[in-house]
Amino acid sequence: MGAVAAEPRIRGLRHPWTIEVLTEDELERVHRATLTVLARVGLEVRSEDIRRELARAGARVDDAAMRVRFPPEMVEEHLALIPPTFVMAARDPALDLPIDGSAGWLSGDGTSAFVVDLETGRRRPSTMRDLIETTRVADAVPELAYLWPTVAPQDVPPHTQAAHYLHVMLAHSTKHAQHNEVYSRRDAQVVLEMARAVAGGDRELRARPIVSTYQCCISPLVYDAGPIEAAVELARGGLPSGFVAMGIGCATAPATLAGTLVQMNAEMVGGMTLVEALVPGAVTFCGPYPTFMDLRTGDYRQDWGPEDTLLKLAFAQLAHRYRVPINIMALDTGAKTQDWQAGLQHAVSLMAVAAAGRAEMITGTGTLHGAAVYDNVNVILDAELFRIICEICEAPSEPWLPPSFAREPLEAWEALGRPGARERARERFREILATHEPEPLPEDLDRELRRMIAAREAEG
Amino acid sequence: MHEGERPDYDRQEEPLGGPVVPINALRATPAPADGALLALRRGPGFPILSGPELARVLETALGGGRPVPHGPARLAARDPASDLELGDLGWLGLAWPAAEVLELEGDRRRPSTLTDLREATRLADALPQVGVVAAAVRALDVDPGLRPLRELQALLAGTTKHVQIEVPPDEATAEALLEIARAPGAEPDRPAVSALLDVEAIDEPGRIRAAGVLAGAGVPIGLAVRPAVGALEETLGAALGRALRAAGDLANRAPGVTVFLVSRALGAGPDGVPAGAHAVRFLMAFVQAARELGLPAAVEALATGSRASDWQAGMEGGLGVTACWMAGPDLVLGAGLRDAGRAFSPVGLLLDTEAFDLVRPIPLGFAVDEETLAVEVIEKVGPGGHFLGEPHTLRHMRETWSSRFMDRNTWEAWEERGRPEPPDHARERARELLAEERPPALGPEAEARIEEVIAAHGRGRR
Repeated sequence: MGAVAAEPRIRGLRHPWTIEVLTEDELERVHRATLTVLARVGLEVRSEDIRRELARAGARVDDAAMRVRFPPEMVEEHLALIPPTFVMAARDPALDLPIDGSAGWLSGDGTSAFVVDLETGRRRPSTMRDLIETTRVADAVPELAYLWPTVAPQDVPPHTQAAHYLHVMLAHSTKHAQHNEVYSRRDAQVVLEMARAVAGGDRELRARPIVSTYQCCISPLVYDAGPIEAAVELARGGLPSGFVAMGIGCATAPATLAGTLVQMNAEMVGGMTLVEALVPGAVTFCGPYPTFMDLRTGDYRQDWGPEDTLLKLAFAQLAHRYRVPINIMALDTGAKTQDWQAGLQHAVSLMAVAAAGRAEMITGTGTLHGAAVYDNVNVILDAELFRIICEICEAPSEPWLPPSFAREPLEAWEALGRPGARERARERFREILATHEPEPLPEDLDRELRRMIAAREAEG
Repeated sequence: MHEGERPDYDRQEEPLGGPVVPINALRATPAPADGALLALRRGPGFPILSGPELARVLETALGGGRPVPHGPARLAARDPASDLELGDLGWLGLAWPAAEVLELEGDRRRPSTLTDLREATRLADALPQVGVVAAAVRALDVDPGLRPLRELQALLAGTTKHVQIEVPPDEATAEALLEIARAPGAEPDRPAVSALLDVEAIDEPGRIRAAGVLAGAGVPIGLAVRPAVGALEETLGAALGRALRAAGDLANRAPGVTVFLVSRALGAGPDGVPAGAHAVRFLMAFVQAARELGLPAAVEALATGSRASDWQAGMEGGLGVTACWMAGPDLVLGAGLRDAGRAFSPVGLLLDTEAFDLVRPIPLGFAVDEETLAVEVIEKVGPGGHFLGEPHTLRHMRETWSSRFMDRNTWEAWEERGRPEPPDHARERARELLAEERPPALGPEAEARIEEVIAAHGRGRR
């Protein structure tokens, strides 16, 4: 018998094929429409400081309307400054992630105000303990290559959340932390201070950014003051600073797929142009997370399917055209538990990402019901799905069967009460939680981070 | 492979992403409009095998000059509106009969009966996504010698869609099946039945003679391979080789036979276990090779290893239908099968039609023109506005896909209603469909003729 290969600490998804959903002509039409929107409509940028800087950089600024319009040549010029590759470094250098198209890396999802309680199976507000547990499990599961703040703990003051998220991610895992919850310049300064402390200094952090960040546009076409100031501050501090758009078709974006594509592209391209204009050469990326409104309920559409796949493929084509790294949302579901719907939507969605040609960052596992609720059981099941799809792409020699699949004879299975994948995954989560011990931060460093959080808390 | 269908395997995209599969090219030729049945537009194919790998598979399959037979242009139905045109479209269907059924009420699992078959057939007939109606379950309460005949009778009585049967083990049964198939007055040049031949059984003399009888009457024969888990190229090449050898045997008995290639799910069958990534890769490579040979391909894409309609079933179904929209088979089989084909679930059948439905719009892409790009609407709404009151939204809001069985309640309403899952919604719909009055698919004369044939066959066996 040959030696058993050790389980890798992280696993990436290769993209051996590219499915193109837009013709070259259509791709150009979307790009030109994007430029038209940015030139004619522009972005509402609610920070006077940023507007002033953008005016100096060549944008057309209407201060009274808080409007910033970008001439097409300014957009093209600054898109060209975006580094096409970078590294999402990790506290453990062996877990550094090259963002160069060689693989797609899966993250956890977030950041839900609710969590499904492991014991009762019921939804409840999330806590710091949930944040720590979900982060520890993410550290253990190889399919999760980097972290997100998974849940929004309701038991700490809101203005300290950004600092708490980062502390938990740095203290309970050695993987790269992507921080999507930095909502003000002050928060950005605290995040940079904490990241520098762990990286060993400003120069060390710039060389190996162990934290990346992104900001979300308020569709349609608005960047709030705090987040956009944070984006620029973080980019100046040397952290990758990306832009996510979350248009809701029929509500905050057009009802057509092409219209949603144009508007969200304008939001992300506008953000990236903005940061390159103020911090030339900054590492940035885009993240399209489209949904549609259910006009019968006013909620998100919980049954998204083909539109979601088509937009993923189209956005990947746009990112490829711009040579800009992309963070694609996969594993999205409207389901409220790990049922047939969740399995179906996750498989259809992640397979599309695998065939999208590129998706350096793949977000993310853990949430249900349109990311409103976090459930740890998802992570275990989605990790198995992710591995299956990695194997579809890589053609391994030995078949691998997910541990959550039933293997016992029918009679034995019936006698056990017909456990499904969901029940097995719950057991696996408990087991990981009981046994996995992440590499802790050195004690003095941990004390230092806690002091920074306390100082932020005292600011009120 | 048809003209213009072949993906450009050699086009290399730099620096990422490997071969390009341009589904956008499909929009140049509009898909036929949906008729009585709902189909999946076949894409350009998917290069799961590289050019050299595919060449090696075909070399093994063709075994130094084995002839490639013809495929049927269509699988006809008694109701011509339900004819399955082959070429541009992929059709959903049931596949091999399971020996057990998961009861509609309560999911209790037990050996299946003729009544179960009748119910499953009624459901399959009522669902516009189902184009191929095969026996969902075995009628185990029927005399085994008459079982294939009673099963075909139940299929014909329950649907006017295309019916798929298995090649029986002897000529006499094949003759009787033909008589039954002709009873409703089918036109001789439009056999509304096709038959699956397990190519592992071609050395059984009775079986190949029976296939010859059916093929001689113009029944298209599906040459079914049952792959084992192994190295993809070798397994696929050998399986296709066996299928083409069977086609050669059949052509000797029935010149002019038309055949299509069928693959069971990898790991499916009486002793099978689900085979994860290997199953998906095999399915896609099977379709790729069949298309290259110019033969229609049918794949058992929905036979999940799960024993219930749970996360695993959804996930495996999702991989199956995604592999199908990417690879483009002519028939997507296995709807409703659970436990690797050992059990049939009526609820699962409805859910699998939804999985099929979910991917149907994908190969059609989406329109990119002045109206859909919506630049003027974006400008009019402006930053911070909304699109809810826009005429543009009113014009397009119904274009997005809608689920039939996914839960759309708010979280609170969902909890109040007992946390229903998609199988609960599908079960409700199945009850409604079974309660609907439907005109009988067979008239009294055809029924009487079928009873005569079955009685005569029974006498002949004694």
